[in-house]
Amino acid sequence: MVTPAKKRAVGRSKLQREQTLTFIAFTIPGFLMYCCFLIFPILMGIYYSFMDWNGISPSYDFIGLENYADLLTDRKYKAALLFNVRYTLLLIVGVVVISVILALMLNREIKGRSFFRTLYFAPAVLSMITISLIFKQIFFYVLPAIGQRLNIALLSSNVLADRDLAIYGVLFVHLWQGVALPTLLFLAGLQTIPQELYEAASIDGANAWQQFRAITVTYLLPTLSVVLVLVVKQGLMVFDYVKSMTQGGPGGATQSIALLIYNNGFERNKYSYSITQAIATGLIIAFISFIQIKYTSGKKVE
Amino acid sequence: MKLWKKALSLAMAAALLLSVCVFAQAEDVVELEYVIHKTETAAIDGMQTVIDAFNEQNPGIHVTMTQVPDAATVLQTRAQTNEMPDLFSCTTSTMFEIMFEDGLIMDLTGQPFLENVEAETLKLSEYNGKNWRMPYSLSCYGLYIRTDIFEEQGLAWPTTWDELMDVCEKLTAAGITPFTLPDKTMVYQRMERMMSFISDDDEEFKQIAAGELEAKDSKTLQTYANAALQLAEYMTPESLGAEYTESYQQLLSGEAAMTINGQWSLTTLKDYDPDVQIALIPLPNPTGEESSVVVSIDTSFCISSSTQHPDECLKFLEFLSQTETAQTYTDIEGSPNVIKGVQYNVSELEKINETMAAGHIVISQNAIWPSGFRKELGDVATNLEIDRDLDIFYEDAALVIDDYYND
Repeated sequence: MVTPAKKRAVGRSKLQREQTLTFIAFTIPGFLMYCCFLIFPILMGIYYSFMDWNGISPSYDFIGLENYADLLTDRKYKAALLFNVRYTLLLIVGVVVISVILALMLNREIKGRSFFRTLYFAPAVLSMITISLIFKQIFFYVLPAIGQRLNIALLSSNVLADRDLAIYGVLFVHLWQGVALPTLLFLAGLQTIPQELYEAASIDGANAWQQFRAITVTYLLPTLSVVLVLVVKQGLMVFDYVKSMTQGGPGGATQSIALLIYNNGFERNKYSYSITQAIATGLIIAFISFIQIKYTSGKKVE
Repeated sequence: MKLWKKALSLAMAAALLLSVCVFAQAEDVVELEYVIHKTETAAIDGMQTVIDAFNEQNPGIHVTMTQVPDAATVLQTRAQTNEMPDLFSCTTSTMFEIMFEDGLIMDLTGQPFLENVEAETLKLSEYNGKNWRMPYSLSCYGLYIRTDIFEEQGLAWPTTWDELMDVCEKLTAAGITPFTLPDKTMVYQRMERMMSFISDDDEEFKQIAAGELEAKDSKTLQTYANAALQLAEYMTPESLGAEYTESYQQLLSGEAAMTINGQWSLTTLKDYDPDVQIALIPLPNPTGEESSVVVSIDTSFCISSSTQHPDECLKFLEFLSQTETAQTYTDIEGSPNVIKGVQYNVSELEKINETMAAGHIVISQNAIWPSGFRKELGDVATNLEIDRDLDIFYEDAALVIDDYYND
């Protein structure tokens, strides 16, 4: 005999099954595309990293871990890795500091607030290459002229032609464009902070800096976590700015990993080796992101 | 009503028939894709003119040109996916040699139209004793001088390295910077062209890689480095940050009296300023020996072996090899052509043409160096201009040579 309770249970499990089916039906297309466009190429990459493919020939041989062994003694890869780490650290500091300051300013009741918000976001909609080409001209013609006029030795010659300064030239352009999106994210984060907290804090006698540290920063941590993931990825994979502004120069001073991978693949015809470099770099980025997400997610306000 | 329906069905049948006919006719036209490896407007215009003429003469064949900013990369990617264009042009590089070896390119050896190509260049373009490509034009490299500035200063055109240094001294004394050089990105090219006439082959690099020769004892590296340091003394301070465009601008504005570059720059320079008074002359040889002109095969044509229409492709190459076609192309593009009978009369290039005609030609070493080597050694050469330190130069050059020659 079927009791009403059992009937309900059957109905529930049927509903659950249907829900599962719907869930699967909705997930499968995305999952397949993810496999097709992400997982499969990665597996292919791993496969090719064990070969000696030159990127053209229809035939190639299995060489085991030789590419990985070469990577360990590759001075150019080490130099590029160091460049990227340095660049990423500078980029993180630059992006976070500038975009938090901009967000705080744009969050205040100022005249023409929407205008300024649009203005600061504008660089994000321009193409990286276009911006790089424009700045390349500014660095050649405009900046040295200003530097000479104001007697600033550092700016009196083309920054991009100076081995020590070229990284800052590239970084400046990256920041000019790269702070737009984080500013927007921080601005959105700022707007989630309840105003009462500031009121309560000021009644308790907290000064502006204490309020910023205890309330603003705490509330911005989730946004910071997202921004950090984005910026770290951008920094470790920087290509466009370098390729269009310095081409890795002068004398290889701004050779980034992505540029090195590109050059190995397309100029040296060492395709398999360049894929090995890409995989190693991917692992490094994954490791850094893992630590970073673990660290920041433990700190945010629940 | 019935009549209307009948008329409609008739019209539809006619339309169907017509479309079948059109389709059938479209199938008769053989579509060929050609990928050009050059990005200069003059080259693209020249090729388009030639292609239009070919299409007009051959109603059954239609050639279309694909132009991309980085053709070598595109060709490599297309080779990977087995989507090679029917026809493409190329310069000399290891990548194409891999393609020749792997049978991706049709063997043209013995094709009658190759007889229209100057025998020497044809020989030069062989790989493993076969003709995989039809060489078409050369590029030559030399010294651009502002003839008006030379005249004003009463200076003779330099023919030896010492004379060049003397000219530099005199120009400096007159308050004119002798050189503007596109050294932000192009040091590697000048280095390679200069090394090409310092030594005939890369035997020294092989010895350095084998540990049989110290980099500092290499005549090639020594001669180049000393010459490069001398040039660096006489270039505009902006040179290290300048690319082609900026160095053109400095030459045209008279900020500098000379630059070192290829004949391909001439069209652009004349475009910017049609009245500019310049000449391209052989770059004096820093070894003290006679000056030669360093040339490389700038354009050659290949047919991919996977094309469905080999006969039509051959027909296109045959068309290109005709003197009249080559003349049309050369007149627009502006490089010395290697098809027999083509007249090449550019007054700015008179001196360099004379030298070449006298047989003083050296082949660019890029054809024999490993892929990517010149750019990386170029980085070392750039650092030499910045540091002016020979020891670091030899040390770093040895590392790069070891990287590439022991690979």
